Amino acid sequence: MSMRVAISAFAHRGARRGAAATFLVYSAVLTGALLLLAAWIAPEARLSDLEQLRMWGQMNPPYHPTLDPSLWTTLALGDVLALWVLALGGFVLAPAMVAAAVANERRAGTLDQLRTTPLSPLALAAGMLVGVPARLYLLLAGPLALHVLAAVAGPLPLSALVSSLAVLAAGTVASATLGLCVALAPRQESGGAFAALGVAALLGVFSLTTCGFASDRHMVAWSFLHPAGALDAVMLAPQGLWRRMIVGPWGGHFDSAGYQLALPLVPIASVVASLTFAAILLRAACRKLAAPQLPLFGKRQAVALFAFATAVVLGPLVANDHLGEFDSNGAYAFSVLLLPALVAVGLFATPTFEAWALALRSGGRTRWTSDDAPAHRAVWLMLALWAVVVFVMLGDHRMHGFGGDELIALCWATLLAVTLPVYFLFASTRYATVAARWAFGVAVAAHVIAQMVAIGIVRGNDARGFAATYVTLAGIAGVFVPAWTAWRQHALKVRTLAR
Amino acid sequence: MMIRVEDVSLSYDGVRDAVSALGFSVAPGSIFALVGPNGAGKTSTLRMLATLQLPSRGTIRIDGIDVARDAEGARRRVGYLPDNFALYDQMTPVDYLDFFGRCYEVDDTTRKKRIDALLDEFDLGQKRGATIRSLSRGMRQRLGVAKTLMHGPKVLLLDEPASALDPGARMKLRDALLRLKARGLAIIISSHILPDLAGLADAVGIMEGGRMIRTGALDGIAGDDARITYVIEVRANADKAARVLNEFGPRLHARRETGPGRFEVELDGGPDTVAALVEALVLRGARVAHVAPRESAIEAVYRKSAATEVA
Repeated sequence: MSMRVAISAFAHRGARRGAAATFLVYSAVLTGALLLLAAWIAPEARLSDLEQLRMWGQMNPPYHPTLDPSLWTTLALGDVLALWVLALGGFVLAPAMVAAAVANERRAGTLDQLRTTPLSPLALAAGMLVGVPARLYLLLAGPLALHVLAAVAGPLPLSALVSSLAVLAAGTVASATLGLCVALAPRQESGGAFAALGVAALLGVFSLTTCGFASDRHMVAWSFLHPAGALDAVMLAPQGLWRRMIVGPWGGHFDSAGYQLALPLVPIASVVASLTFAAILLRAACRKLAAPQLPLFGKRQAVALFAFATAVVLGPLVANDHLGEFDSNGAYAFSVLLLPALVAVGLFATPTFEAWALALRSGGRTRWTSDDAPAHRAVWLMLALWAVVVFVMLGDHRMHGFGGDELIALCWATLLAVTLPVYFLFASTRYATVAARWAFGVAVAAHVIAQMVAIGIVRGNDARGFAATYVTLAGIAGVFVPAWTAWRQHALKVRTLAR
Repeated sequence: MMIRVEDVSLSYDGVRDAVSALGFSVAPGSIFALVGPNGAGKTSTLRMLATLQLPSRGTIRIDGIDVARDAEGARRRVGYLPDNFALYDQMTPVDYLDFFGRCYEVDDTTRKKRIDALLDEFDLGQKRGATIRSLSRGMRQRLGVAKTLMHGPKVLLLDEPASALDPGARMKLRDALLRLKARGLAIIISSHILPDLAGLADAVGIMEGGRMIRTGALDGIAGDDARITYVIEVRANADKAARVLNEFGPRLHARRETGPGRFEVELDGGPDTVAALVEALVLRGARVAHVAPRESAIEAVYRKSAATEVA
């Protein structure tokens, strides 16, 4: 009841009478424009393919590529364009709208007014996820109808329709929930436009990357990491116009058994991953809406999210024949890949100065799962989880992977990883302004990158001449910087307790 | 009692209580003024009453509901207008009220009727189709109060509602609050502008440094021991008037001659004492032209309480 009320309230917010009908008309116009564009391009493209076939047929010896000019129909091309619009709307614009709206509510102070209504945090979140972009969803109704029509009356197989709709729905929910969390996470009430642009840019880049994965035989298993990649995989599976447009006449790898097997699994993995991701983020958003003073993630949520990130990044490796290639190089590469996830969940599970000080002064021992506790143990738990996964996966590679220098590099990398939560707590409790926290964050990032370069030199057994000096200095910094930060943190603790 | 606050404390950092051991109650159909300087803890108190902040200790009951146990139930009974509140500038007043009506699950028919009634009551009927951006500060404030009434609350919490309003807008707001009080709402107004509360509040709670240093019915506090400064202007026989004032007795605590025939006197005992003084002046031949309190009862109570606190 409460969720329906919230969705209705947000969807009707500021809407003129008949706004829904107006947006449906706009949607019909948009669909008509897509069909017109398709009707203009398709005959030209068909002729072009016919001409290419004729030219290749005249070659000596004649070349017969898998090119079917009859794929270029107005409905098929209209469907492709409609899907692009649906993906853009659901995966980029909807989350950007949610992020902008929520960030603006925070900045203006109207979010507090909403929190005094009887709407539950879940209802508020539902209102923001569904109600705020309601007019965008209405605008997408026409392209959606065109996509369905392409399956009913056109060339698209019914299974592809079902898969694509599932990926679109789950992906939109996950993307919009990410937008909600991005807007709620910062301690300061950030600018709505920046939050929206950041979300849109991040999702846009990620979607293009995973789309590239979908048409690559070696990377297809990772294409589910963003729903756009999964949608690409869904549409590449049948022999149709989408495949013709994405891979052209050179689609030899579609005959590969592994690729054929992976493509239908991608949408399933995408839906499961999107819904799991959305569920964890939605829970975090509800927590933040109920109690804005808390960090975005509880400690258990942070660990669960990191475990999820580990599973989705490494899962495809386990599932396909790349597992044999996971040696210590792979372990380092994936560690670097998961580092941003670790930093993000660790930072957003770290308490504010007030909460930390309150817990400190209460004198009692806080549990590691407490919102007021530093994120040290949660981050170390994540690192331990990652270490276990790495050691299990290294399997037979373990023994020959560890030379003397490599063992030093591993210890150094472990030390670096273990010190990360020291910086999270210091950034969160020592600096009150965004600018100061960013400055500290940049300094720590530079330190971590410098350390990683030094670790790489040691691991490659290249520490000679200038590189040796660099490694020595980095080694000193590797001990001095976290020690200095920990000492400053201790001083802050003493000062806080003395006040 | 509609609102009952018992031994409530709130600490943000574990060192200093933003609100400490607070206790007061507000009856239906009355206005409780929460006064004190900036940083006294008024806003924190109202935020706790509005369920935006949980108290560290103590209980708050609204219409018998413990806000810590049933926040949703409390929210249905409370209308809260924060200090420096924001509106959705691109909306019209009708859309704005409609949105909050929906959030409070007010059904369609009631919502439409209530929007019309509130716009009329708060003198916003002419602006129902204008964007909120185009409204004056006073209109925005009245619209904010109207929003808090959309769901028919029993309790109204207003944080500095009259700050930054011109005198005309203040009078309109004051009239509206008196009408709401007559309808049986329990209203809490926080303010550090004391003249706004004079003649409006039935009871007052004076806060200082997070503590309630004084609370009670305004008449009681003012009548008991509050000294009020009056300005008396005499057209002729100022010397006789000065003699009367010198001899008036223990209820006159201080007097100052601020100009020819113009005196400021500090009296206790309320209106009876003033009447007796004027009578004495007239009987001794002083031509009294003007008698008025230099400060309201609430200001006098606040001044005295603050002075005691400092001492």
